[in-house]
Amino acid sequence: MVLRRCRQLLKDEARAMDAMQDVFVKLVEKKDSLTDDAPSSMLYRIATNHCLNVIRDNKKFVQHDFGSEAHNEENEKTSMLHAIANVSDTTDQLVASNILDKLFRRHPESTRTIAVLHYYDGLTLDEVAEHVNMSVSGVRKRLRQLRSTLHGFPE
Amino acid sequence: MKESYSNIKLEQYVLNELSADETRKLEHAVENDETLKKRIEAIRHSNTEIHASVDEQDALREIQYRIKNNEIRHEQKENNLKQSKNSSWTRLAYVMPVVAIVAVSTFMINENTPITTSTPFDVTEDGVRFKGLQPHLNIYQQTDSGTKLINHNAILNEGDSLQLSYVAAGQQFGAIFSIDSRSVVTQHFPFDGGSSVKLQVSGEFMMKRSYQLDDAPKYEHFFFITSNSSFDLQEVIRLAKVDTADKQENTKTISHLPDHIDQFVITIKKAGQ
Repeated sequence: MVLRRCRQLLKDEARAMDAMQDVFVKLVEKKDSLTDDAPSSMLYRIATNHCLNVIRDNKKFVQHDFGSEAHNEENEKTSMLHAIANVSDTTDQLVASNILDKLFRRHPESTRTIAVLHYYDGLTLDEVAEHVNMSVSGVRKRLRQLRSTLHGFPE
Repeated sequence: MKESYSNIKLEQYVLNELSADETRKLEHAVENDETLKKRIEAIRHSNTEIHASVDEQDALREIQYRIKNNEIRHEQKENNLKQSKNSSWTRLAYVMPVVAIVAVSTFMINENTPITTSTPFDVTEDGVRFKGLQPHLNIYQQTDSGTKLINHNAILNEGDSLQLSYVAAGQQFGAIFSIDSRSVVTQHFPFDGGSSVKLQVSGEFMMKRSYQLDDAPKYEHFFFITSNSSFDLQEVIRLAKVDTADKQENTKTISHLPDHIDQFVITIKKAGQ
């Protein structure tokens, strides 16, 4: 599942293999904060977030001009993915500074991951909320914050 | 009305992670939805293909290697932190004049001398290297969003800019060089010369020059060779060239090094090969 997810997002076999191994490294390193609930869901999220970092950090993944040169659905989705990957982490830093999260040692889900699940994978707000263990209004708020930083992003 | 199922839901179904109720509902939906059935079959087919094409033992070894590597780096960070906490004004007053003298004289001797990002002297009480810490090489990639520590076997592109640093962990002498798939050797530290050079024994030592990956295909192996006594670098490079002569991308270690010489090897793979 992890390799399949990395292949889907990176569209490069060697990078996907590399990313898959990193995902399992992260999983082992986070073992103290893991729960037994739906391990695949967590792996899917870690893989998504990691692939976004790979896309952001790699010049090979040229950032497309969102909405202007995308001629088909696949290009449109790729453009969207790259736009999300390159979003600043400011929103997440603000969320991470939340005192309640600190008190309860919660790890807020990456806004970029939430955006990929909704815009790229097509999950409904309810499904995203269930998947990342957040309220629907929380998910909606995060997406609104993300959209405000991306011009021309769909509502 | 047909219920839509996300890929992750179908993955969970194939992994038997759905509740009995959800499983029942999904299986009922599959009976009347050919597309849904094909999506589940595609996941199962992909699983079979992955099991056949990926060497699980190799992948597991690689993951263990990366975990170990991260542990070493983490340990190094902790030790650096411990060092800085332990330092007192008295110790600083003792060390600072020496730092100043060495910094000035080093700068005058060679402009290519690496800069240091941590204290250049081991000022712990016992003056010995930290237990368990091994000499290692760190490679950082310069990206648009800053620098990023890269893993062994990371995939990079021609033109990517790299910054090297080493942690000697108490070893006195060393050298860093790399060999690419064309058997071309690049000396990173020292930049030239046939012998090992004196290392900073503690802390992380950052090279001043960055290194840009050229168009050599497939891979480049980076060797960090250390010892407590000076060694013949050209002889070590000759041995490394012999061991990498088959031009295979799997990481090589130098097989006939004298006992007093240690090695740390990290490989970078090139994209699009």
